[in-house]
Amino acid sequence: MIQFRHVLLHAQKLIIHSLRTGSGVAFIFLTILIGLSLANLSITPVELGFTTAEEFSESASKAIGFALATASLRMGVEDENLPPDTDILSRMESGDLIDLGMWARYLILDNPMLLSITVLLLGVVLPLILPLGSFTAISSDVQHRTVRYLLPRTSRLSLLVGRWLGTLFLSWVLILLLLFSVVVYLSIMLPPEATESMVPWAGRCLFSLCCLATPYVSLGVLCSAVFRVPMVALLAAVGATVGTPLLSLSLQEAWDPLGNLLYLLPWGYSHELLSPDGDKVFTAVAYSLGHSLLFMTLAAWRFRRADL
Amino acid sequence: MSNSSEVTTGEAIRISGLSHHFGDKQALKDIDWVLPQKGIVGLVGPNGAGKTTLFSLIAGFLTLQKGTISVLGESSPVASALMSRVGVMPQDAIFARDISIFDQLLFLLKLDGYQGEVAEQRVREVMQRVGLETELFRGAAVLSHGMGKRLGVAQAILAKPEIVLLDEPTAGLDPANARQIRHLMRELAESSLVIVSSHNLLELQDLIDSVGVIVGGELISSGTVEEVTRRARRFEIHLDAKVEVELVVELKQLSHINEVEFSDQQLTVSLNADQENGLNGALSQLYRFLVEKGLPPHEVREGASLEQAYLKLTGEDQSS
Amino acid sequence: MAASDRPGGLTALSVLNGFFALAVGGTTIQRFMTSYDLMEVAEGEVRGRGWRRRYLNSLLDEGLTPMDLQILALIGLVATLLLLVSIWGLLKRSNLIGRWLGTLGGVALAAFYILNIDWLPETYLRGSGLSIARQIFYPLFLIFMLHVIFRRDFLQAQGKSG
Repeated sequence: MIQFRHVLLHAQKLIIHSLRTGSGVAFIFLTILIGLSLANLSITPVELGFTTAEEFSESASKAIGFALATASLRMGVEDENLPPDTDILSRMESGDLIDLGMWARYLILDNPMLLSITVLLLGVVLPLILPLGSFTAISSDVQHRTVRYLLPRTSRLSLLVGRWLGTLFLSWVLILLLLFSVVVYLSIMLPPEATESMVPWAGRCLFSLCCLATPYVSLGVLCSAVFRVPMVALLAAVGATVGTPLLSLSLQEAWDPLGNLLYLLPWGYSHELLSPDGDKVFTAVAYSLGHSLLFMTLAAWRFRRADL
Repeated sequence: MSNSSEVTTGEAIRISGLSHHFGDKQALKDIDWVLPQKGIVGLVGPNGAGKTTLFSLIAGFLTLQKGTISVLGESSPVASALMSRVGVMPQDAIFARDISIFDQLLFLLKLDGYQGEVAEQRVREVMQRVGLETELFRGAAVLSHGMGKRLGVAQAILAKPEIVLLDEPTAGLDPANARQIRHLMRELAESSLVIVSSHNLLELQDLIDSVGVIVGGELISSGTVEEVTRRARRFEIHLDAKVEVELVVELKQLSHINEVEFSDQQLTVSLNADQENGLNGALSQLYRFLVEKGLPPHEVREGASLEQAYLKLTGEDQSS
Repeated sequence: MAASDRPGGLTALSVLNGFFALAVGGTTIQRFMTSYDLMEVAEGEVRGRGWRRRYLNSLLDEGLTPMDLQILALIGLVATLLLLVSIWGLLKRSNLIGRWLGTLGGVALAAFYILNIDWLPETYLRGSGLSIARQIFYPLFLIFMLHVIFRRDFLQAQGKSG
């Protein structure tokens, strides 16, 4: 029982409300501030001239390759063909990990590396910031019973979907602003010919980050629909986001298949959103949408039955 | 979902076999109640009796556990066909503090289907009716308790609903504002059903057409005020002389007298209005008796009869 | 009655104004001090350790003058004062002191950062171009919030007091 007009009204209201509340302003400001700080982190070494571009790209390539290998192979996977003390950087150069090396070079050499590094960093940090924008989506109104003014006028599902859409739109706009700022700055800083290759890659990065944001925003809305106290909803969302990879990696030590717990959240596949392999990108996007759908279905199931 | 064909003419809400519990606590027990399409219905009961639970179930805030509630012919109180046809003033809900009252009411009206200038005009009109037109562009956080109550009433009647549920609408209001709200309820009742819960039984008595008394989650009495209070019709009679015990003994022997209480120069008499001549006959007999005894009433006040009926029904009557 | 019906976003903006006033105030002091150091170096008065003198000489070589730094410091000072005063205006929802002085503070802040990028040599900025871009975000955000999101709050508060 979704009323499309109501969904849009709820989404619009959420965005306006977010801009007027202290927590909303803090979310917007922090997202941009942290995002630009991360961009600064990756751009500053080049700007300072501490290293040449070649040296930087080589070390960045190694770092990214290491991160990708950690994300996709998760260190614990033993390769019997290699000596036991071979580190992952060396293993990247070996035959079975050549794809990862190629992938790292695809991000660094084939595309504007500063943007790639910035987006990879954002991919790690954004999941931790996004709950700030979604934790009050439902719980605040439930806590203050403001929702009781709405329920005689609108369906619970319209309210939930509207709030989710508003939060998602706000998050996407912030990501767009962030990337736009970085691209404009890099365009000023880099030679004009570099700008041409940057725009399509920026579009691809924007798409990837928006895909990545969707399940995390949905998780935030799910927590907001489940917990009546906003701060508990925030803690739950951040706790799940941080706890899942930590739990997964530590349990993997005990029993390897437990490492798959990482797939409870997009941590397990989010890096593949920037993969050179189109099939992998498609799969990662599908997983992202699947996760979002799952979280929102759970939220709807819980919210429809909740005593408000 | 809609089964409008089953609507019985003249009834707005039909509650059948309604029970609800919170954990181990039984909040409502097997309630059956039919409410008319127009008029004001009072819902009274002690604290924790289940009034707000019943309100919340009718409004769809709580999910039904057992029993059915048919509202305006719809089998579920959360049916989409009911959106905006039921207005609710919850007891403890608060408005958002970061958005002006005008914008919040405008948003609610947009959900109700109003748009543009018409919606803005309606918000101003309703705020004027509850006496809050000067607070329109302020935040809800600055409103006093009484103003908040009036704002709650305003949002409930925004879209001219067919059923209005008001939980303690006049609690905390000064007499002038309470009167304004009562007047508003009377106006609404001409075309809608207004269900109002209140602990102010004196106020309700003058206001409502019918009443339901809920105690311990059970609806122990319902009907028109006349029906519910019939056997407890009470009068306060002030005399010019001190009331003697002998007078009370004689008074109690009259056929229409149920109970007599006295103190100094005041008699409180409970009349039996079921007799053939009804209330008028009972009152005539009482007056005649007092005049014959040389004690013409100085002042006679009919009052507290709903309160007395309530106290008797709830077992809280400590008098007599 | 509750204390205030001020939206939480305005309170947050006033806190951020304070934060940026302190940040730009600190930079302003630094600019003033550097300008006096530059004057001393330009006048041939040798002071401080060698590396500092060499650094200041390199700035002079790159065309930076003490006057540039003093103008920047002056703009920074104006921005600091405007932002500080506007905190009170934001909390009181004063249209003049909150909205308009806040706007002027935002403009001064943006001008301060933009002129820093434009006038100061890269060795002085030490590769912090994007961090300056990051700081430009705040004045733009402030002006947007004051004139789009909270515009009506200021006008209504003004109507009430007037």
